[in-house]
Amino acid sequence: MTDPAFLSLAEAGRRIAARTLTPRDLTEAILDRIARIDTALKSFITLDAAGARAAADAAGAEIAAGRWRGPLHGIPVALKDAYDTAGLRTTVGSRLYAANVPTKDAFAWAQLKAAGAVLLGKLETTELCYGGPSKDALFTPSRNPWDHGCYAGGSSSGAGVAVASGLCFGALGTDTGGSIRLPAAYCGITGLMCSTGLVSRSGVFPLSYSFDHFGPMARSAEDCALMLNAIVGYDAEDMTSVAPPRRDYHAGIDRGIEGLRIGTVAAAGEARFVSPDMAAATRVVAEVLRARGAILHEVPFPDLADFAACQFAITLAEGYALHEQALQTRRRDIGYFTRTRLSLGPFVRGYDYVAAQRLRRDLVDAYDRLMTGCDLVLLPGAPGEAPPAAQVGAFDFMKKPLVTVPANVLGAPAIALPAGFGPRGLPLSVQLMGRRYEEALVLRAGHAFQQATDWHTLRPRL
Amino acid sequence: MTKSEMTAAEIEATLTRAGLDVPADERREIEQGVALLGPLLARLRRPRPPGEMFLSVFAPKVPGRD
Repeated sequence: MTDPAFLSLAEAGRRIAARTLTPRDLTEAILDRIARIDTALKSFITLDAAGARAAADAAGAEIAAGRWRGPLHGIPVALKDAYDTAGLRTTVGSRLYAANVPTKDAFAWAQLKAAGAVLLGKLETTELCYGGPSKDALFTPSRNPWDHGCYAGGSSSGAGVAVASGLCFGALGTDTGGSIRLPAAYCGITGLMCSTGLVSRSGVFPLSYSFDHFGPMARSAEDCALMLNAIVGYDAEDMTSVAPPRRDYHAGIDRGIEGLRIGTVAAAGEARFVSPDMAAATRVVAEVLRARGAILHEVPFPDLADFAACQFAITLAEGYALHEQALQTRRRDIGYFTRTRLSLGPFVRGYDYVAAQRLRRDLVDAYDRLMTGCDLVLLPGAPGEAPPAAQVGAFDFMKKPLVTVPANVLGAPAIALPAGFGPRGLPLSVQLMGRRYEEALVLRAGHAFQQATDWHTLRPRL
Repeated sequence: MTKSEMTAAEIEATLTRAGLDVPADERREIEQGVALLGPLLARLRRPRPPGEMFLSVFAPKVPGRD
């Protein structure tokens, strides 16, 4: 029998609906697994076993009474510790917020809870969503389940590790420059960064007002679609929140990609951006998509270095504005990676910030023009395999323009999909980007790709 | 002068003006970050037509709404 911990979210939901599996039994199986292996992985920083059991029992009682809420009812999930949870501490991985216990749930978590999901606890994040594997952080950095000595990616590190390791069926992450997609890539899972405003930011700790995005992390595109159905919604408390027509992101996910036009970007495979293995994996994925009926053609994607310039200037300025006082008065309470990175803020001048915002508009316009001729864009998912954690430097992410950054600058949806393994046996990944608010198409293409490959089903030995 | 051309003394002065008390070893790391930041900020400079209209707030069009 399949280990219940590695059922797909969709399958677990079906079994719960059919009453062949109870939320309590499923939750106990996951809690047992967390107790056995997370002492080494360190993905959870706050485990709420009692709360999870109570929520699972409540879900079980509702379902037994014939009040099944949908595919997430009774499903154990977890949250990056940047999402507010009423009555449960939300630290953002920082001593600055070590004692912070919100009184209100983040909007997206409230939506997920209303769909019946069971919260297991809060997952490790690099500090203030802008750190790295700092030895002096409040919490031990999560360890990559494929190689404990390697970086799990950031900043939604714990989410990548927990989902990949069968410690939850899905998680919510945040993404300012790749923080959903990089941990997804390094841990071998699927992660969706949603369009600006589709998922509410209220109650989620910010880093950059311009570039913060949100979305689900799970083991497949289909599972991400089910989670997205729950968390989309207009929120009057979030000035960026949009109210697109209500749609079912799971319905039609099986429609395939016959005839879809997918843009390729040869320059993104250059050594100044990604490893040769990642470039090769991206070409392999292109052939898989072509074999499924997609029409692939090269597109004039803007230079990735322009996206990086835009993203760094704006994120450093906005992140510094958020944390200036703490950097001045509690510097030693902030871990090394985060405090040194944020200390670049004073070097971005006002006119740099404005120039970056103007460049952003140029990049958005160029992308919109490009997307009149194609439906999706294929890009590598990360610079390469996960690097050894000990070799990650505070400013490494500035040395190579990150392939994940364009989606943040554009506010466009991008899904990270497992795409094989590199020479060190660690996961590789690609991204499919769509037009803004076309998450359904992105998910459908991701699902079609995962119907043709099995990389998303392979698990680390734990 | 671009950021990558800033001297160590100028970097220290900028941090001091910002009210950041940064020890010497950490300042050296920040100097490396400033050197990487310089070329990125230089990329932001490009000719603009005079009077170019610019919306500073990113407001994407939403299908079905706009």
